[in-house]
Amino acid sequence: MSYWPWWAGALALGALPVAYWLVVRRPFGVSGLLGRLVSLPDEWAVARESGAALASEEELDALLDAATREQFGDAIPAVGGKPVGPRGRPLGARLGLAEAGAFVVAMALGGLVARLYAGRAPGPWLGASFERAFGHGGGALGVLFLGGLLVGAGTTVAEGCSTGHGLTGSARLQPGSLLATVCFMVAAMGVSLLVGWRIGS
Amino acid sequence: MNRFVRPAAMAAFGFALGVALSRLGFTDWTEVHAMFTMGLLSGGPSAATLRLLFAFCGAVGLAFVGFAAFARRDAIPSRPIHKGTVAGGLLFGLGWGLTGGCPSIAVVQLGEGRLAAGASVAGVLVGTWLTRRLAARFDWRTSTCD
Repeated sequence: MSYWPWWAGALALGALPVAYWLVVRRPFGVSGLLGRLVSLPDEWAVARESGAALASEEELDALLDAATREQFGDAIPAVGGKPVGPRGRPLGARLGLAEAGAFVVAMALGGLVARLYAGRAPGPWLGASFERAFGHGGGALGVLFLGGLLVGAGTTVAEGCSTGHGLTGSARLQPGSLLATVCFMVAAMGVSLLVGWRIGS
Repeated sequence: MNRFVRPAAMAAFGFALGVALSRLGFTDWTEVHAMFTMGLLSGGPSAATLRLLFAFCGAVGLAFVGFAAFARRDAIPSRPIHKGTVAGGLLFGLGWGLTGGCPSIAVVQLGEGRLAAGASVAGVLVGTWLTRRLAARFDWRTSTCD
């Protein structure tokens, strides 16, 4: 089982944010899509309070948006960007929960299909070096959960992750994305060198 | 177009990202670890240890050309530096280095059957939820791109 060469990955990962913008008309960013799903319980609560009989999905969306704003204030940036030129494509409507959900589920499915195609089950853990560093028990799961907390907190505070800042924003030379990308690469390299020093690789 | 095309497109893009991350080896902790250490602790950088870094940098370069060619005038929201840029980036990097999973990678790992990644995904969701609560309380600015 061999992985793709670097150039095949560059083609696939480079084409994705551009095609995504052209079709979906939202900046590509996976932490935002997951974040959309995190707001699900709140949005259900809002929908329940306002009664079940809503005329349309648009009405529900507007209501949810208003409720989100009420709760988080202006922390949520306004929907809609400034048009940067004549004849430019406008920003599309905010993604719905079903759309974000479809993306996330299909992404997991993509992993499954790629795995079946490659013809070898990976087992429940993440790779030989991971087990060498953290074992394969409760402690290792604890590391993953804690690391996940850091990822969730960091991408929320930085307002983007490796796709939103690393791919999409950096490719558009956005200052916030370039700085965030440098920061997460430096931190990841630092902690990886520490872990690597412990396991000797 | 909107009613069915956009959800279908979202599913197609998600599927493509899942396949690409998996076939590139981004879901393999050993490969991601090699990318971040660049092989410095095991005989120096090599084509194998720099493969994912080249893929990532190549992707940014290609997307730069793509956006310049097809979307130069488009109203894509800008991403300015703000108070959380550095702190958030550093926290995210720490987490990615430990778990080997950025938000998308962790989900794809789970899809591949690497069930341990369920702990990473749970961490990401809880971390996002908690941080939003804290942000609302202390009036920090947060959101993520979508």
